[in-house]
Amino acid sequence: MVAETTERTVRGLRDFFLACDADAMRRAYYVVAESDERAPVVEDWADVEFAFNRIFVGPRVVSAPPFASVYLDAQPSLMGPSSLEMRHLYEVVGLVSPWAGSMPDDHLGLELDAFLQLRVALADDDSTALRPALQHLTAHMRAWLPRFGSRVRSDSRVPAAVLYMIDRLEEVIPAEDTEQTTRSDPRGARRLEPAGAQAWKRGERHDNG
Amino acid sequence: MSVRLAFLVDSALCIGCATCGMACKNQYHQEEGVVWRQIYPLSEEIYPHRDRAFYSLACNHCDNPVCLTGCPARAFEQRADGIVVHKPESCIGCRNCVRACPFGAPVYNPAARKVGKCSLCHERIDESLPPACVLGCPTGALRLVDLNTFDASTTVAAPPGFPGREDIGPSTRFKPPRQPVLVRRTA
Amino acid sequence: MTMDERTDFFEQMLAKGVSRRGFLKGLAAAGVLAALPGGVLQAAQAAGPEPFGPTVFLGKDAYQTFRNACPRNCYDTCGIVSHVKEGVLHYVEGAPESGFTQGGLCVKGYSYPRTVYSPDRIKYPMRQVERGSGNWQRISWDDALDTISRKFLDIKETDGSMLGLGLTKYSGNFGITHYGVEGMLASLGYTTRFVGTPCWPAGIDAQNYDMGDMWCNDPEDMASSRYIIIWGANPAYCSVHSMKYIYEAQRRGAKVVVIDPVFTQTAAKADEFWEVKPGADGALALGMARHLIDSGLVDTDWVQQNSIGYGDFEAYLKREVTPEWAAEQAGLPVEAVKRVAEEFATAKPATIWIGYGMQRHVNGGQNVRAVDALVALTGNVGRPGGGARYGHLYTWGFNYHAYSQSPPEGSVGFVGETGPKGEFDPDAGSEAQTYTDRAFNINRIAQEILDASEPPVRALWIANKNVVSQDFDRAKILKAFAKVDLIVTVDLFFNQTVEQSDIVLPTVTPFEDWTVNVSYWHYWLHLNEQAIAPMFEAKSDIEIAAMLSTRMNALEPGSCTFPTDVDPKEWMAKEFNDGIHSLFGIDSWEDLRQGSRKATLASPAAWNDLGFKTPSGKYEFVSQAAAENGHPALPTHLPGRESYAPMRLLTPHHKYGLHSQFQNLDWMLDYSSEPFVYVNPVAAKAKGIVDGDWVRVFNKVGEEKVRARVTGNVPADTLLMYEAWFGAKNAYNVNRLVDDESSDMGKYKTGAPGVAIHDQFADIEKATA
Repeated sequence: MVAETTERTVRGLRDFFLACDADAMRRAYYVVAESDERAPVVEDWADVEFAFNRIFVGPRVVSAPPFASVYLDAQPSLMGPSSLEMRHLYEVVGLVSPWAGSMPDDHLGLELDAFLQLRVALADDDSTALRPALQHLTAHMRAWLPRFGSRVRSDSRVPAAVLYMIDRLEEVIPAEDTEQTTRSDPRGARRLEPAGAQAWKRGERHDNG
Repeated sequence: MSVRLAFLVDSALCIGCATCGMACKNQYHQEEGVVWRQIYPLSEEIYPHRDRAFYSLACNHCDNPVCLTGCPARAFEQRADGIVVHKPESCIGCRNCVRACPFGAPVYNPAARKVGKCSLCHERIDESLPPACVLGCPTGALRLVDLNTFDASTTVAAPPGFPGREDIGPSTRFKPPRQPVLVRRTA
Repeated sequence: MTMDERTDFFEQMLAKGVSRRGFLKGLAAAGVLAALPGGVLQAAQAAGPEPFGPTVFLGKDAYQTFRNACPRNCYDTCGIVSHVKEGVLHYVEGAPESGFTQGGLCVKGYSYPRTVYSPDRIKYPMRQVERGSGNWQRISWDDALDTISRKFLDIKETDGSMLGLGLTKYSGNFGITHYGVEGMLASLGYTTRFVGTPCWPAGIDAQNYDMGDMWCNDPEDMASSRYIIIWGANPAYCSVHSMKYIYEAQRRGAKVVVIDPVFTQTAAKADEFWEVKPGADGALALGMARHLIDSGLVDTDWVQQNSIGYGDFEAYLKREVTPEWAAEQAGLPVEAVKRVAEEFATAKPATIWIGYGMQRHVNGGQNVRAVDALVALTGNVGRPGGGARYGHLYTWGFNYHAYSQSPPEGSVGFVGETGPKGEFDPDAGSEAQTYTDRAFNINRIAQEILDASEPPVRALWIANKNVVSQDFDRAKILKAFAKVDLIVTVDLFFNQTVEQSDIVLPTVTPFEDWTVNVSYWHYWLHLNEQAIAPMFEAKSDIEIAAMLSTRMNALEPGSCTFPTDVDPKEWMAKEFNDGIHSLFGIDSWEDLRQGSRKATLASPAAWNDLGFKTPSGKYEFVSQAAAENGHPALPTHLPGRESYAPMRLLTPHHKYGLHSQFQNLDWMLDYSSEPFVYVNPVAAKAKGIVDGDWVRVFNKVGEEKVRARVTGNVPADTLLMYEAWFGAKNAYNVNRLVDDESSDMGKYKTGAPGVAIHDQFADIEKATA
């Protein structure tokens, strides 16, 4: 079933972006890549781990922080309005991050988890008031994931396995096409650039082979 | 009794420390590259030592604000106390104000596709708090004055290097920097 | 509203351009999700969301406020009020009740929200698989401490002692509980300590020889001075809140003279500026003193009643020093030297602010002693509005609970010469013990590691310090690091030291920690409360120590005495005692939640009762202690360092950073985007350099490529480069050009001599970009 496949993919993506070490990355990767012929074969997971930390974790300045506020808020900061927006979304649907207050609530792994939980709940009972929350979350993720994906792809040494996961991420949460979304910023409402969503589709991928 | 609020920039006291500018960022978290209060070193024609005398400038909250008159979206309004307020919710990002202002006060934010500028912290003023920059200034070089009661006799409105523009009437007032006696090394 | 209606409503809202966040608020009553088994997000306790909004000023009642303090070891040590909403730090202000800061901070302090929430912060403990490779693995705190503990136990097994473990950490105002790092090392046994300080040690020794301690007037009393000489200090950059007292003195008619090798921002605010030849400060002060003798302007009553050895000093000056000679040494006209000496002597109270720059020379301690003498023989020591102002530790009488840990039973240590472990060492002068720590000079860290044997330095703990940026002779540092098996660095950002470490541990900002802070300049006391939860997995120094102790004791019971469970708030409270309570007029630390407090001083003047702490109890123009430590007993002329390259190189502090801190933030880059070397127009012309050119500055230590800024603020024979770390994308580091030559003094009170940072020389040439 498509829904189950999607849910498995989201679960794998969630665990991948929350992974602490090579082993967790490998396990999460195969949740997504299992029986997918497109999935590149990974020879050395240590190399993936080093690159993953270089791109997402640190300690060096990372090329693509996995936090929505870095891409959406006026100041590319942690714990910005976007982080709080997600904290409130989780609260609205009755969830709370185990790292509330310490890790910004708009970490990609947490957003994917909320996305997963809402989908599962709605599959059981579509009549609940949760659907607007899922729409809201999806719109939010659509707004920043293209910029995030583009930052990942602009890293000159991004491993094929990470690129594969970014591709899957963008399949599950497709970028906005013509839909125009508005949102607020610290000095008032601002309109996101739908053009930004197109940019990654056109470009940069070939730069990295 | 009405008040007419304005910044007083006392270059004799100013040490160019940029505390005022960072106090503004601390309050409003502007995006990188978007600066509402900038610290301008005076050119050596005006003050003979490079980087040693400054004007700290933001919006001058003019008597006849050209940002306001030229805005097609009516995104500016002037309060009774003289503060020129920009309303981002009305701004369409056309940048007419950026082109019109001879002082460079409105700054375009490409990410927001809107203009922003110094609000003279009117939300703080309304709670009887000084503007963030004025509170932050460690030397009293940047002050908030009421032009209706302030003794302006020792200040100027158009010091060297600052466009006077009587037609627009920038409200900022200035005191000039001073120079010490120099005893340089003999060869 | 039906589900469909609700969805339509949502879409209409979006179409109208109303923010989704606004809509989210309306959604508060939506369904509640039972957490998914295996989900990361957990079911929340029932509680409605609070309203939230954008980053504008929301009204003073919208925020929770907390008390914090800036711990960057600056003169001003500002009290901070942090404004927090929903657990997020929105903005900071200065403590309003502190007369010193009056509600403001500085350009650095106001950038703190950016430090806390910078995406560039170090978030987790991490291990570098090969040092310098850039290949980092995220590890748990347990893993990190296990690796570290095993190495420490291996050192003990191999050497029979913990002396193979070295600590390099700065001292000063980081918050008193941060002395728990030293406590952690002590709790492991006798270790190798890099002792001393690069900051101010020569001057500390000088003031101790002269007066028996370093003690300065309240800076706020400069407003009452009739004459102020600011000598080798640049408060307009480095102590901005002191400037208003200098201005107030000027407003009341005082004259301000700035003596500096550079036309600084402070000099631009003075009445008179003297461009002194670097390192000639002592000669200049001695010449001024000689002129006062010749003019009959010595305060003979003061000197007779309150000093010893004045006769010898006068004889020395008459024998060896003339104003003409001094003027020539300093490169200044003798008329000016004589005139200002007379003005200073006749304008009581008159004061000299002795900057730390003056003592960063091979003759730095003697320079300070000569200036002290000038203040003393005009009778200005012990006088409100007077004084030889350098610094003080008068308000530092805490318990040093975190610091004071004992080695495990049976620990073996170093046998041999010992001394204080820095200027803040509360154990200095206590009973000799069988074993001690091994003391290495913090200012020669590279050479000490290279020379160390029996045992070598096998592991290095680095905290509160960016060694590779701030220690001298960077090339030699890297060579020395190669000799060390394990380098552990605790820090906030990925700086050059983290780059050369094996393990990095993430630490807290002041807003995520509890501690207490005082200044070595003003007399205010600030509480530092935890205002927000620590970001990611950041821990305070004492929490790290407790976790290390837990692991050490699990591997080998009794191997570490540090308590395994610490509460940073309790440990902050443990630093207070009756002395602190009474000095600051408080009943407990809780009173500081209402605001910062100032010490209750009998007089704003240091030494106001003229009871000096010297062996004689008097001001000592002749110091036996100085003689015993290998210095002249008198403040005498000591020549400066021989030049080793065509131009003098000065590398002082900039206004936008504090050592390697702050300048890396993008907020700061909006005001200061790149480093420069400042070159005089005459020198620039001779070298074919025009403003903005890329140039190469080079000497025997190394080289640095940077753009030139041509300015008459620096003399024609001098190059000026401000120390800074501009972040990961810019390799600028002035310590590629600074060697580890020692200054004359510092060992007496801080354990190691200072370092001649300003006795450096270099050449310059045009380079290609």
